[in-house]
Amino acid sequence: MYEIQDIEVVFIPSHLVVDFTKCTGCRICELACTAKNEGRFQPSLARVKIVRYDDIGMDLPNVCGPCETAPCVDICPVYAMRRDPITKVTFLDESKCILCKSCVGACVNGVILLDTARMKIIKCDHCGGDPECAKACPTGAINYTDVSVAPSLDRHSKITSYLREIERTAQEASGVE
Amino acid sequence: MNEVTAGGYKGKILRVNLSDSEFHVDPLPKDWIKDYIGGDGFGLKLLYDEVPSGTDPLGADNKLIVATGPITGTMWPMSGRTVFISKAPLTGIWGESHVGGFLGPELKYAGYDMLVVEGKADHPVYINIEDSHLDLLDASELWGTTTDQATINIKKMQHDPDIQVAAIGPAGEHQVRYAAVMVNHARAAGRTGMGAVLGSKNVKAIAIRGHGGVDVHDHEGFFELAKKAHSRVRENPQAKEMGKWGTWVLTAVKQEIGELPTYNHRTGVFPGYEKLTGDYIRPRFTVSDRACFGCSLGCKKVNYVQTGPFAGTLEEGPEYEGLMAFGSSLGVDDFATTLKANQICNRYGMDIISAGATIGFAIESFENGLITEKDTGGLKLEWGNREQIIRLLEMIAKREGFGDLLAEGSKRAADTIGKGSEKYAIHVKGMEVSGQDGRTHRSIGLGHATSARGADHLRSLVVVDQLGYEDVAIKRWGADKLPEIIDPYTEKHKAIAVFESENSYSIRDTLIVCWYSVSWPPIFWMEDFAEMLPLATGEKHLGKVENLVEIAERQITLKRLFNNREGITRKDDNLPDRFTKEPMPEGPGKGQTVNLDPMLDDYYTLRGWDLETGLPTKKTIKRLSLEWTKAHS
Ligand code: SF4
Ligand code: SF4
Ligand code: SF4
Repeated sequence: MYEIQDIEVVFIPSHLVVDFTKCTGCRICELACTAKNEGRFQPSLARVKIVRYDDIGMDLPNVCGPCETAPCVDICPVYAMRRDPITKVTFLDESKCILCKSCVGACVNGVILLDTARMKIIKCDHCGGDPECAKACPTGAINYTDVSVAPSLDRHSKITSYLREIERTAQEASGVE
Repeated sequence: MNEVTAGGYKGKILRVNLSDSEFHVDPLPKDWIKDYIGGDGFGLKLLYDEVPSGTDPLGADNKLIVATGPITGTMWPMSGRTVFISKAPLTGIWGESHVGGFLGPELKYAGYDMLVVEGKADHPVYINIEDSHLDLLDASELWGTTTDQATINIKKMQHDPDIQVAAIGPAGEHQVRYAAVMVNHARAAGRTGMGAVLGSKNVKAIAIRGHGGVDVHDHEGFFELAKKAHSRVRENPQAKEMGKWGTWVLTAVKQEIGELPTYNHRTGVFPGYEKLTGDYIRPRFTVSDRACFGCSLGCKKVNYVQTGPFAGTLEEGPEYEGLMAFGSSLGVDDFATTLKANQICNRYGMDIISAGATIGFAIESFENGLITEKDTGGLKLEWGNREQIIRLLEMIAKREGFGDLLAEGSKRAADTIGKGSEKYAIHVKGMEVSGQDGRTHRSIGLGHATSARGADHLRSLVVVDQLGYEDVAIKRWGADKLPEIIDPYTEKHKAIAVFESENSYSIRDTLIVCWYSVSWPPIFWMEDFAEMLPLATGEKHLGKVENLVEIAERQITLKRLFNNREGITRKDDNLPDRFTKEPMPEGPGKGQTVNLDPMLDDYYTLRGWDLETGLPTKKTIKRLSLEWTKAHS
C-alpha cells in the first residue's frame, strides 16, 4: 500500500509548457521540429506553430497540450488518437488512422496538420520525451517540464501582461516627463 | 534535391514580366554557385548581364531582383534575410538593400531562389506567389494605402495570415528616390530606393506563401553545426547585450568617441544623447522583444509612447540609425519623436537615413539663408522641432509642396537649389551618409567613400577600431598592426581592415546572414562559413577560406565594374568636405579630419584597382575570371 502511494507522489509527467511572454517569434522551434522529424527544414509541417502578430508586435507559440481533456482523442472515431495513461501525452497510431481529419479541426491549439503531399496526419509526439523545439528555443519560451511547477501562462495572460507593460512604461514615462 | 543544383538551393529563378503579365521559371545556372554562392552574388551577376548602362532606374527596362542564398530557410543562425537588388533610383548606380523578417525563407519554401520583376504594369498590381500558383492581381484598392494596411489587406484577401508580404507605401508610389520596401510591418529594405523601383512598375506588393522545404546536402551534419552555432550566439556576451538593448547600445559608445552625428554631421557629440540611449529607452518605452526568422539574438524592440504629443504610438524600432537620423542629427533629444518618425517611415515606406539626412540638409540650408519660407511653403525650418519633422516626412512621402524637392534626396535637392548648398548635402555618390563619421572613425571614412552603393555603413564598416575589440583585431590581422589598427583616429592600417571586413561581409551577403552575426558582435567569420557551406551545399570548393576570399573579391570588383560602366571612377570615391576639410569642432575627436587619399591608394592596391582611375586592372579582371564582362575591351 505504501509503495503504491510513493509511485503516485513521485511521478511527474512532463509536458511542453509555453511562456508566452518570452517568445520573440523567431520560429527556430518550427525549424528544429522539422529538422528532427522530417529531415529537412519545412515549417509548414512543423508540429509547433508560431502565430506572429506584426501589427501589434506580439508572438504566440502553439504547442500540443497540456490538455486536461484532449479533444483530439475524444473526437477520433477509430481510437487512432490516444492518450498515454502514464505520461498523459496524446499520440497518433498511424496504422489505425482513417484520415477523417476530425482531430485537425478539434485541436484546441491548431497544431494537428494534414500533410497533403503524403496524405497523413502530422501530430507532435513530444519527440519521444526529448523535444527538439524546447532545446532549440533560445528564450525559454518553450519548456519541457512538469505542468504543476510551470508558470501557468495562457494567451490571455500574455496579452494582459503586454498591456500591463504598456501601463508600466506609461507610468515611468509620465514620472520623468 | 534538385539535380541541377547543389544542396540548399531550389534551382529555380522565377521571372515575372509585368508588361505582358507572364511568369517564367528558369533553371538556376549551376556555374553561378561556384563563382557567386547566392544572394547578393546571384543578383549582381544577373543585373550586370541584363541591365545595361544608361538604363533609367525608374523606367520599364530596369529590373528588380529579390534574392536568397543557399542557407535561406534553414536553421543556420540569422539566415532569414532577403536582398532587393536593382539599379538604384537614388544614385543611378548599383543598388541593393538587405532586409530581415521572413520573406526570403518563404520564397524558398515556395520553390524559388530568386524572383526577377521586369517590365511595367499598366495598372496597380500585386504579385501573388503560392508555390507554383502564380498570379498578377489587381491592386487598385490597395494603391494609396500604407505598407501595414496593404499587408493586412492582402492577408485578408488571400485568407491566409501566414503569407509574407513585401509592400510599398505612398512614398514608393510617388517614387520618392529613397522609398523603401517593407516586410513584416517594420523591417525595411530601406536604402537606395528599391520601393521607388516597384512604384515605377506599378507594383504595390509581392505576396509569397510556400509550403515546401529546404534540403541541405548533409542534413545531420548541418543540423548539428547549426545547433552549435546557435549556442555560440546564445553564449556570446555582446550578443546578449544586443538582445537586451538592440543597436541602442551604440549611442553612448559613439558619444564617447565623438562619433555621434549631430546637426547634420556638423559635430560628433550631442548634449542630449542620454535620452537616446538604451538605458533610458528600454525601461520607459519597450513592451516586447522580437526576432527575425531563425534568429536567437532578437534585437528588435517594440515600443510604446504614453505621454506627450506622440502618445499612443506603438511601433517596432527605431534602430540606432533612426535615433541618429531623427534624434541627434536633427537636434532632437526625445525618443518618442524618433519612434514616431520611424513609424511614419515604416508606414509610408521610406528610408530613415536618407529621409533624416535630407531634412537635416534642408534645415542647414535654411539656417544659412539658401532657402527661405518662400521655398518651404511657409515652414520656418529649425533644429529640434519635433512636429515639424513629422510634418516634413508626410510631405516628402506624398511629394506635397516643398516635400517634392526633398523626395529627390539631398544631392538632387542641392543641385536644384544651387547657391553652394551642396556643402550641406552630406552624401557620397548621391546616397546620404549613415550614422558614422570618418573624422572620428577613420576606417568608415574609407568605407563610405568606396562602398558600391554610396555612403554605406553595411558593406565594410570596421567595428574593432570603433569599439576597441583588441583581441578580435589580433586574431584577424595580427598583433603587429596594433595599436594603430584599433585607433579610430588614424589612417594607418585602415585599408587592410576595410578590405578584409568587406570581403567577409560580401560572403555574409551571399548566404545571406545578418550583419549582427558577423560584423557586430563579431561571432562568425570566414572560417565558420567555410566549415558550414560544404555541409549545406555539398560543394567542396566552398570549404576553403581562400576560395571564399576570391569569390568575395570577384563580387566587389564586379560591383565596381557595374558602377564603372555607369561612369564612376576614383574621383567619385570621395567624402563630403565636412569630413575632409572641416575639423571636428568639439568632443574627444576635436580637430580631426579624414585624409582619404593615402587610404584610397592602399585600398586600390589591395583590390587590384588602378590607382589613378579606380578601375579594376586587366590583371585583376583576369585573376577573378571576369573577362566575360568585356571591361577594357
Ligand atoms: S493535439 Fe491538440 S487537442 Fe490533442 S492533446 Fe495536443 S493540443 Fe490537445
Ligand atoms: S516536441 Fe518534438 S514533435 Fe513536438 S513540436 Fe517539439 S520538436 Fe516538434
Ligand atoms: S524558438 Fe522560442 S522564441 Fe523562437 S519562436 Fe519558438 S517559442 Fe518563440
